[in-house]
Amino acid sequence: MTSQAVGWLRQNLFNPVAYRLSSVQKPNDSTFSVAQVLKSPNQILIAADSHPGAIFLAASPIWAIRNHYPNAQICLLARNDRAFIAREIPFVDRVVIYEDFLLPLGGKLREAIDQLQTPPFDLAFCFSTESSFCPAYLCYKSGAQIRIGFQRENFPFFNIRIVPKPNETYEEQRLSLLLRTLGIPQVKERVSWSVSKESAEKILNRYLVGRKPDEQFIALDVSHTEGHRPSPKKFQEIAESILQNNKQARLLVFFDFLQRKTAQQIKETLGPRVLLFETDDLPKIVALLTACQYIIACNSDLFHLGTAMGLPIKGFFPTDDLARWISPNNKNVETFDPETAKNWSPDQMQKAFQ
Amino acid sequence: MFNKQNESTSSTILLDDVHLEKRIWAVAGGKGGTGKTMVTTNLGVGLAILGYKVILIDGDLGGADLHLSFGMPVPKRNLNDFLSGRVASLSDVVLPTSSANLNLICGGSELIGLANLPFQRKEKLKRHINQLDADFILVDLGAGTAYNTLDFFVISNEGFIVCNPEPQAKIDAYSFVKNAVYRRLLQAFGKNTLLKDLIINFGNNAQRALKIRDLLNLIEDQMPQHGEKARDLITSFRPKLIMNKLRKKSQLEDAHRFTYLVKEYLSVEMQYLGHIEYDEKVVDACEKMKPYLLDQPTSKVSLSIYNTLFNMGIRDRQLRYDKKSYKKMSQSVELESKIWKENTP
Repeated sequence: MTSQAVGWLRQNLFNPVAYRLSSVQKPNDSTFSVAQVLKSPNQILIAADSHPGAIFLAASPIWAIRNHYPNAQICLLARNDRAFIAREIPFVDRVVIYEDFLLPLGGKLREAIDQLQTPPFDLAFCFSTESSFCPAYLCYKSGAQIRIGFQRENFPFFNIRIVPKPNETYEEQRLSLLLRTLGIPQVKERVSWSVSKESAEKILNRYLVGRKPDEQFIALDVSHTEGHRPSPKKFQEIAESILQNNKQARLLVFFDFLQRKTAQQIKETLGPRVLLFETDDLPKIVALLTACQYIIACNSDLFHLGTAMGLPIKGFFPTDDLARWISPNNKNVETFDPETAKNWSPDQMQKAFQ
Repeated sequence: MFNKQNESTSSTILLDDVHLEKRIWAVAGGKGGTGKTMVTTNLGVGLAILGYKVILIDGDLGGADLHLSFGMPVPKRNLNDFLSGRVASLSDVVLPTSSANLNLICGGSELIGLANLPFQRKEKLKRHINQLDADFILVDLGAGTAYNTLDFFVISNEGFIVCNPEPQAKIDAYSFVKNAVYRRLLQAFGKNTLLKDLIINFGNNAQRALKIRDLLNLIEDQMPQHGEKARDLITSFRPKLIMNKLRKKSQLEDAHRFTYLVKEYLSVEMQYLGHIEYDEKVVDACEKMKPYLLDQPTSKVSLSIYNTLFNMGIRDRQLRYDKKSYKKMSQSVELESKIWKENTP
């Protein structure tokens, strides 16, 4: 089944059933002052969106919330496959992990909800869009006094609802709308990520075995993404083309559990010049990306991490998604439409990754 | 907690809490000929295939032969070069193999008395082993219960006992664990003369019925302040058992009985990792001076090595196989074996 079909089933079948199954969460206190809660909340919940890259894009808004409420305890809610990123965010005090679900059943979900209900939250921000149900549902189940999020047609999870702009907006600007509504000043600087020179050296020595001082590395991220992306065969052709173009370079292929076979096929075909890395440890990924000349990625966590780090990136994005995921000011990103790339000739491919 | 200093000075999140895990495995067995070296070699090759950076050290200081498994009749450098001071660092004697992930430190037997290292040299060696960078460092130890062997076994993160089904091998393996227990206690309490004497006397006078828990009770009675530490030392000592060269199913039961006896008499909880069946192909691989994981990639013995590694919770870094699907591993191993052969000069 295609990811689009799964998405349709989720939105039209599972999500409404899940909503029906959920009992109405009683607020902590039946009467409370909205102004007082917004002025000095003790416990804040931030539910990150579940899309790839969402936590990196949310880092600046989380920083802004931390600046605005320096004394509050902030808890970040993140999906289990993004736990390794969420746990590295320094602006939060606690991270609660959940597993994506079709229907709200099972012990693990109950455990996550229990963690969200003690201690009770005063204020909850939900960063997710209409297409991701779980974070909004959990935000609702937390029973926070004030729950703020983007308007959802059929699911009244929030008591302050923001109506997003109808046209595609850059993700960070969408989130800033939410902060502006509550009068939370934005931070001007974008959050970047790095590891110290000493730690990077340690990581590179461990993972890039047999590394020579002037050796070149190129990163290719084949991790799971939503929407259109090159096929496994196309990824293989891309990998081949890169290694042919750069005779001295090695290719670092990053993968996740869902796309492990794509990565393995590339390794099996191209041999020792390909090194595989599971995307499961943020310092490792940051150090390895820093050693690369450029990154090739789709709309993945690595793409957004790379842009946050200011690294040169060649990205595969459907043209109708560009405005949402790529900052108009980012000059380091070169994009290709995956549909057009399907029909690339070897010369076009070579030119693209020169 | 968020560092407020960061908030005002920098917009870069510095990820400096980098912890690179390093595990040191010491492989011993008590009796000679149980297959320690072959098991160490193939565990190392298996880990390298699963994507880990591995260093194999030949710690059999009296009879080094690990290099022969990699087709090196006379290694260019060996442990003697380091122990005799010809090179400054242990990393200077690390030799490459056909796999970039796997390196080797060969032993040397040409120095007389090397098997009995003086304390300072032993400490220097331990220090340098700890400084090596790898995901796994595997130390192949010699037979017997010499202090050198026991000390390397005791200091490693995890100790492995390779045993055979023969009664002689099991008796020697039992003696090895017993000696390691006493060595562990003596290293911890050696400076306390009274306690040291108590442990030595108990060890020397121990009749068959006496068990380590009796010694622990004795320590607790006579020197209660050390009782808890002594108990912790024994409970935290959890060597792992691999039964090698198994021929019959009934020998599997013997292996479990062995771990039960060790628990009963020595209060040591051994972790049984699995067995490796007897196979002539192992002898063929030995003759060809190759690890059987590469020479006989589809054999049962090769798959047993992967099973052992998965039993220890080792993950395939490429996420190809796991504990449930390791039997299909032979396909990838064949491929890996081909790559290794192509890389061999």
